[in-house]
Amino acid sequence: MGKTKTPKPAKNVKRKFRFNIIDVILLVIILSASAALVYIFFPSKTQENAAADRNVSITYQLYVSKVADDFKGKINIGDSVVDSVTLYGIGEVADVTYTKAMFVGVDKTEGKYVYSEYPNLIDIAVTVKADAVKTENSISVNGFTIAVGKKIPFRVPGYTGIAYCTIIDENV
Amino acid sequence: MDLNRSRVKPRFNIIDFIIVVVILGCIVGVVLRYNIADRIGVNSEQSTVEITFQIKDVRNSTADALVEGDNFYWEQNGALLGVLKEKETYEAESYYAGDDGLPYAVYSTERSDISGVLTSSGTIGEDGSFMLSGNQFIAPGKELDVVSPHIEVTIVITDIQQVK
Repeated sequence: MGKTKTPKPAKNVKRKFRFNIIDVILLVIILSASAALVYIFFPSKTQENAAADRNVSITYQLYVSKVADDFKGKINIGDSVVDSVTLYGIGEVADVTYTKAMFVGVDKTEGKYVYSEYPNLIDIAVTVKADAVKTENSISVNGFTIAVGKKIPFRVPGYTGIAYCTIIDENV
Repeated sequence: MDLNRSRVKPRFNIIDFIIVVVILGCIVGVVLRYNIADRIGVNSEQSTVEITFQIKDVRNSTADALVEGDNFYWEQNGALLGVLKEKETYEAESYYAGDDGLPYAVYSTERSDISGVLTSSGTIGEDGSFMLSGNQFIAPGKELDVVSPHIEVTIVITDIQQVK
């Protein structure tokens, strides 16, 4: 009885490329990583209408109220400002002023407000300069939306805290 | 049974190579974006610093539980914040508005304000920023929940000075 011979593959016949499971896994990883990178580097483009974007230079004010006067001098012109949650850079300190925090009382005899200073508390007004993207709906710096009234956790090399944005000016 | 099929070995082809290169590129991009090497303190030299902090308006027993020589840890991540070098305790100060609308300070004998100094170590960046243990940013203004063998309390950092 003759044995069945296994046919030998012919030489010079090109092996057909097969898309294997390793390729699928790698592709999935790449697509995920690419999506993450796009989100990290171009968040404003993915979230807003890119066609309406306009690059502008802005200055905005971060206002820190009623903190101990130990913090006087901790924020300096030229410091890089970073959003302390996302760690995105959100500008550079263009100016900073330290003023005594205001105490508001009522003179009960006269029936009027009395404004005086706390002896050991200060307010800090930080003017920040940044390149921003302005859309119909928002102004953002490096993907971080800046708006008057917004509570902004920020940090500079010598100070970290929470401020409110009180002014935004578009530089001409 | 298809014997040919069972003998096909997976081969590392050009597509796989391109994919691996792209993945490596992504990893390098992320590392550069977040300065991961610096953040984990790989490239930095440790410096000794003194961290000054305040605690406001706590019970006097809290002040007693701050023991000099104790290790203090950042509760959030267990990192060693430092060793308590010294502390000073004051009667807790607060303000009230008088009938004339002006602020008047009052002091409590039952409650305390505390200031203290921790000896710590970390890295100091070129811009003067301090990284605890080389990888945790802290600065004046930072509020931290800390623990020691005797106490759990919230402190506010008011100053960080390098020890020469």
